[in-house]
Amino acid sequence: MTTVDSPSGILVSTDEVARRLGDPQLHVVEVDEDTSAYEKGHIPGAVALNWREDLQSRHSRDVVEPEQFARLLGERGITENDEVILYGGNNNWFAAYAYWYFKYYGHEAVRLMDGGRKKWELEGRDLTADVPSPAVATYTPKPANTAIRAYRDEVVAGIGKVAMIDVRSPEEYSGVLAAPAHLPQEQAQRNGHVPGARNVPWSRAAREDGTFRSPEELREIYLGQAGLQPDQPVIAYCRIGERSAHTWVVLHELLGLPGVKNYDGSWTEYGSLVGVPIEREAPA
Amino acid sequence: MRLHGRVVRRGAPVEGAYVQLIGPSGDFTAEVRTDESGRFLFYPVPGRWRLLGFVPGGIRIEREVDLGAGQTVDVDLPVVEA
Repeated sequence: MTTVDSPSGILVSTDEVARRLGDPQLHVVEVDEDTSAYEKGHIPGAVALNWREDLQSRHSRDVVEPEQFARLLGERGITENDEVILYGGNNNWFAAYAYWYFKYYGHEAVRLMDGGRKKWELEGRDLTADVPSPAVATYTPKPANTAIRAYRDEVVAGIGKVAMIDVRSPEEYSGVLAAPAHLPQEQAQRNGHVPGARNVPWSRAAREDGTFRSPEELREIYLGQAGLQPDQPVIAYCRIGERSAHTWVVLHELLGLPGVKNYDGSWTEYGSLVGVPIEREAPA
Repeated sequence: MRLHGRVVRRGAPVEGAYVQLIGPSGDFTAEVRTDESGRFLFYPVPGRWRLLGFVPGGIRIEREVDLGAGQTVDVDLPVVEA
């Protein structure tokens, strides 16, 4: 399916990326759930960010400090003003997480390749194992934009007051599964969901080829069927914050809802907290 | 409990196909890319699941699988050329 650039301008088609390969102004960055995928083959000229090794703090469960984020990008030849296009596997889960992460650290010129790695591959486009060696650049870090990130205390305090969207599959939401079905099932201490959270799986925002649905379809799903109000605060969560980043992209960036936050601690944190309420439909 | 199998074309494994697992609710549950042996693997629970396979060239494969408690199921997704 041919895609067009989104009205908000944050989505780039595979056609456009293919046309611009070799453009020195363009920095293509792969961020995959399968962190070995890049080594096997990637878009020519793309550099990689490893969500596990590069984007998680070694000292605590958290994002890296702004100085470390700046160092990571500088090592990949990227400055704070450069144009970055992110893509990845699994319908851009981790690319969307990286997009949210870039916005968290104030990088404005970042976009997502619509459909991600799957669409690129299924279209039979070129992949290479050649790893580029860009000249190191100076990336000046910016303070974090904490308005787009939710922490556990805000989630617990928001039960019954703040709209919460659990974007995992219905099987995870109900407590039947603890994780996506392609992963071994050992995660949080308890299964279920935050009381009152509505289940709107991230996948409803995507077509089979991984591209985002049209703004009209997305409005119907989130503002119509899910009943979100444009100006209300919303917290999206999943298991570890990457699928909810996909939904954050939809709500905050594509639909322009200003009060949406991603709870990146998500179920692996909430489902292991002592003393917090949990709802589940599956037998305990 | 496991649901695994291969994407095959005329009996040969297809690497780089994408296999999506649709849950009993009808929503996406997981997706993996087949390895060099054409294999995919999921860890679902009992129920009726739907497998969707996507192969370069616009080929789409669909198959339903019933999974009983404690079962491990092995299924092939054959590519049917147009």
